[in-house]
Amino acid sequence: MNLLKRLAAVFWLLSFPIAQNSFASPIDEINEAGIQALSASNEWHRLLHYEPGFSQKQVLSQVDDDNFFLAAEGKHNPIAELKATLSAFYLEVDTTDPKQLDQHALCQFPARWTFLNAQLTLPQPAITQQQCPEFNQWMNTLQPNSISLIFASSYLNSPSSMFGHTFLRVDPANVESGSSWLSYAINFGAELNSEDNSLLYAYKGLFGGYPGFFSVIRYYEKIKEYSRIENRDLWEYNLNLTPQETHIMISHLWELRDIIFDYYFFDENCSYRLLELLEVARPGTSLRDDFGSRAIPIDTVRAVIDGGFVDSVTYRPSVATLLEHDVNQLSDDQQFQAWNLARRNIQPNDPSLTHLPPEQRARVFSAAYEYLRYLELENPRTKEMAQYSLDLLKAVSQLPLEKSAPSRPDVQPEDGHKTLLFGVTGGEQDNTGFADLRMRLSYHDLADNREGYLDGAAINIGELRLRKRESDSLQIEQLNVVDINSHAPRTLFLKPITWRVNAGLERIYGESDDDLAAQVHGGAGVTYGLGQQVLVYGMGMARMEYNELLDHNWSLGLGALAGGLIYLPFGTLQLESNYYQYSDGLERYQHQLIQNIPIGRDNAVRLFATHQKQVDTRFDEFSLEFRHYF
Amino acid sequence: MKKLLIGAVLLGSTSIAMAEAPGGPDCGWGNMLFEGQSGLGPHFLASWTNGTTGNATFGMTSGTNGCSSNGTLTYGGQSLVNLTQVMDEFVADAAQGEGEAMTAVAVSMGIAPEDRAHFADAVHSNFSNIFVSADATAEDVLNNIVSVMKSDERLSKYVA
Repeated sequence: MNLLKRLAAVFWLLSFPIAQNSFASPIDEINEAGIQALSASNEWHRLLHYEPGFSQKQVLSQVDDDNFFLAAEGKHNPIAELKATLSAFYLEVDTTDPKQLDQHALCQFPARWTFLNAQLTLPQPAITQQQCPEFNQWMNTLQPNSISLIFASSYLNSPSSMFGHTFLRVDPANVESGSSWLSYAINFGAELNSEDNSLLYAYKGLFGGYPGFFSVIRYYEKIKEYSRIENRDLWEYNLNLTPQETHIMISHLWELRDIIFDYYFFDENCSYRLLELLEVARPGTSLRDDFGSRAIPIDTVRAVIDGGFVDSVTYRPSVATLLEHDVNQLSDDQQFQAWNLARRNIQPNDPSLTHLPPEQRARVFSAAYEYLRYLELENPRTKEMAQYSLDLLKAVSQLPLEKSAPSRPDVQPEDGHKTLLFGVTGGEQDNTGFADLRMRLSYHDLADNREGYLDGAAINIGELRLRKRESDSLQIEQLNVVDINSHAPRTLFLKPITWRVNAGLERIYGESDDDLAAQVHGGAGVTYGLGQQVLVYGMGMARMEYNELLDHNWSLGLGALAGGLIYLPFGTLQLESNYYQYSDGLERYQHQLIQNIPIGRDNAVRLFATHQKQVDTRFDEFSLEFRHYF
Repeated sequence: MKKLLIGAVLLGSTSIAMAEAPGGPDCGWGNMLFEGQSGLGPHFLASWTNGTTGNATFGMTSGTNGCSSNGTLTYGGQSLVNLTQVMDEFVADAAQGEGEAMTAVAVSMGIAPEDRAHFADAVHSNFSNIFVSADATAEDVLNNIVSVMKSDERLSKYVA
């Protein structure tokens, strides 16, 4: 395809002077000033994904694919690209050959044609868009009429999912209740290489080593992927795009099929590209202004809401949420029965089950079946278990099963605190006063304002704390490159492992000196919930440190940690103690109290009290921080 | 930056095992669900780029999960739901007598809105005849549904 296009371009360049001499090309009649103005328009820049380049006058398209441009210098020259596009519309084509038709610019770039034709009232090319075989077949498949923005929220035990994910759903005009399953999802994601190991994977994800593509698949496949496999609740923001706006957007999406953008985790990611599509649909609106360097999915959802795009919101609970809800409808005894039934500790014809009223028996069997499905996420289904599952369902099919739907969470994800954090602290460390400045790029820690976030899940990337002590100059106190805490509570049915990983720099205080130590620590353990408002946890920990205060600089510590999160009416209280024994024979420990008190959604006051021993010194620290999320 | 990557190492440097339906000739209910993912590594990392393996699809093909496309519902005009892909949800809906997978299959088969509840009832009350054994294929299930519909006064017109 690439080669063909290049040949066509060469042919066009060669033929242009001849054509000009022999007979007037249709585009000659458009004056140069008109073309200049149009090529500088917002719409054209959005269709071509132009962004300001290195200098003020230059622009550069974010598309990293030659197939997207008809002019050789199209990536950075909007005028040349516009002229080349106009000319390409008027290339002759054998209309009996579907392949040639599909290759024609009019069929390849339908949104460009719609836009330019509306602005310039162009003469009719050799073909019409109705003659484009693939494009029309595709439009017929999608039948675009309206759009929803789908937000996949975070899920238990994988805080990296806390950043969330967004994709679009395109619905036909006659979408009816329940049949949105058959609609199509538009996803922008990286094309992975399954041979890459995770190290390379993370690296390439961050620095743009993977090519990003748009893909279009059935919505039910997405539901399966997120709602079932990953246990993420889906929030469907139904947008108020008109059928015309939807049509333009989907026509432009067609122009982007198989087109490569470099994928960057932080900025040019799934969510950012969707905003671009929405901007094409509604050229008068800007959505991307705040996302130059970092596009966190939930922030882009907020931008779409603030931009006045959202009509209504639908909540689609994940399979784990449904399981939890259905189990909670059972009595304690029945929960145990369902668990035993799924584990095959009791048979379906066990007297304890057959004695139950039919409605209750149906719910026990159904919960057991759901639990088996959930367990299969970790272990492949055996033939035996498949048959057993079917037997359970057969039993259910002969009983009256009434299921209730879980209620929608009170706080929607976009109503949680914002994702950048700035904090100012004043405090005292063993009678020495200090002041801290904190800046965090993302996202949420265990004690942060609770609403709209998952309890016990935290991820922070890029958190810097600077400290000015009375006796010292301003210096780095702490730098968390990555800090992940997963404290999903264990229940009879769900048995997630609690884990933590932290890597960064941390100032360690000795008797007479201090050092900014590089460290990585992590651990695994368990968390249990005591009612709805308390989580308690315990973990085994390991820590590796490079610290110039130590005799050997490198040190390995093994230890344990215990703590609790108490969600008090006025804010989250976190209590935690840890103890490490280090390879150099020294021990260290820390006891810490954190009380976070939200002031509205985007502010908080936080109290810290710490007693700890580091290297060879014991000291106490008290501080009070004002935190602002923005 | 090196330190950030340490986190990834701790989580295991397994290569990415993406969820995929084991295809082949035998795509019955017994083995159509993806193999289990192992450990935290794949889960954690798959979230970074929201990526997929395999060719980028663009809504142009159906039944590309490696199973034979015979399970694809084609009644009612367009190429529609691939039954193998929603079988788990569909069979659970059939046991209960309603649900979104049930509706999707009904819509796929071109069943008019006023007959969909009746279709759901028919599938529900014939559960044992439709889902005969765990190693039945989607094609078997579809054939059984069609036989049930053929012998049903209101539904026979959709499979005539």
